[in-house]
Amino acid sequence: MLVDRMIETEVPGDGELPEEGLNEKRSINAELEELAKYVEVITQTIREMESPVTSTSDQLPQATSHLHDLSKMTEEGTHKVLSLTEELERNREVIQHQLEQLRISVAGRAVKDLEAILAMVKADEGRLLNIHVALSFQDLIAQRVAKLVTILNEIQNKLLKLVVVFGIQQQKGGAGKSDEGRGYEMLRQLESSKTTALQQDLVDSIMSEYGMS
Amino acid sequence: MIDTGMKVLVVDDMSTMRRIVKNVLRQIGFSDIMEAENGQDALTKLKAGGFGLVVSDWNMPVMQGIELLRAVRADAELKTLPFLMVTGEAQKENLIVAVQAGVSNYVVKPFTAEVLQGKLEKIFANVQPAKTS
Repeated sequence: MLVDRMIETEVPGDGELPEEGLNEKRSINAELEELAKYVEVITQTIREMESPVTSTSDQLPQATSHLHDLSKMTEEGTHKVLSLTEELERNREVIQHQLEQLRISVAGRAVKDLEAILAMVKADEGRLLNIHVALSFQDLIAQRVAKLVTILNEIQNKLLKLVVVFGIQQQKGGAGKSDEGRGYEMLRQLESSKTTALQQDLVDSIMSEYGMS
Repeated sequence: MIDTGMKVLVVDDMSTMRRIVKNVLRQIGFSDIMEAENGQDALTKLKAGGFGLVVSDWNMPVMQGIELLRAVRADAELKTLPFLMVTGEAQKENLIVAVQAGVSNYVVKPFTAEVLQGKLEKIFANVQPAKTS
């Protein structure tokens, strides 16, 4: 320990110093001792930071990838709902047209019944349109996700600077994990793959690697 | 009364939003609707001529909606073109910037079909559409 070494170190010539000089030297020694303790605490803190910093800097690219996937999946889901509501609207238009034709050819109580049905079918036009417009939430999600990705990239850059400044080494895969086998490695590859969306064949490979199918 | 026979340009980087806005415009009665993915793409299409209305997003890559608006207002041929901003940018500062840049009206997402139609009616009640060729 740096502190112990400092305390144990003998500086020659103490006997030659006057009382005032010795006091000054003791005072400087005490201050140096405090400083050394402080440096020890900082060194220990940096050592403790190593694990969370490296694991966080490892995980951030995955977090970004998850966010991109979230955006893409909501976009695909929104298009699906849009297609279905468009189909419903086309059907509704056909039904409305046929009911209007039918109304011309019927008489008596049937006219009133047809008009009631027509009113309901027409009201559905507004409802379908509002379902459509409500899906604009997807755009808002995409914008928020883009902002989150920007923030995450900034955090990652700052962490990388920290890693470089304090000389914290990034853990390379495999160290101390040899007993976890190929399944672990596949999971690692999955994590670092560009997309985080699971494909069924990859799922099956990993499951079979763990003896499950 | 809106002249629904005019050509409309819908500008948004999100394909879902372009589809939603197009469907609302169709429901209002517009049938001649074109799309652009960003401000630059939109400006190229607008300069080709024939448009009577622009409905644009704010946040887009390449060229943002506000830059497109400024470019439109700076262009002698396009400067009176009605320009509706449809955006998730609900901050007051952005609204002021858009008004100062000459936006015709401003719709905040998420919106309803009635709100979009109401804003278009206000635009065409106050603004004489530009005749571009």
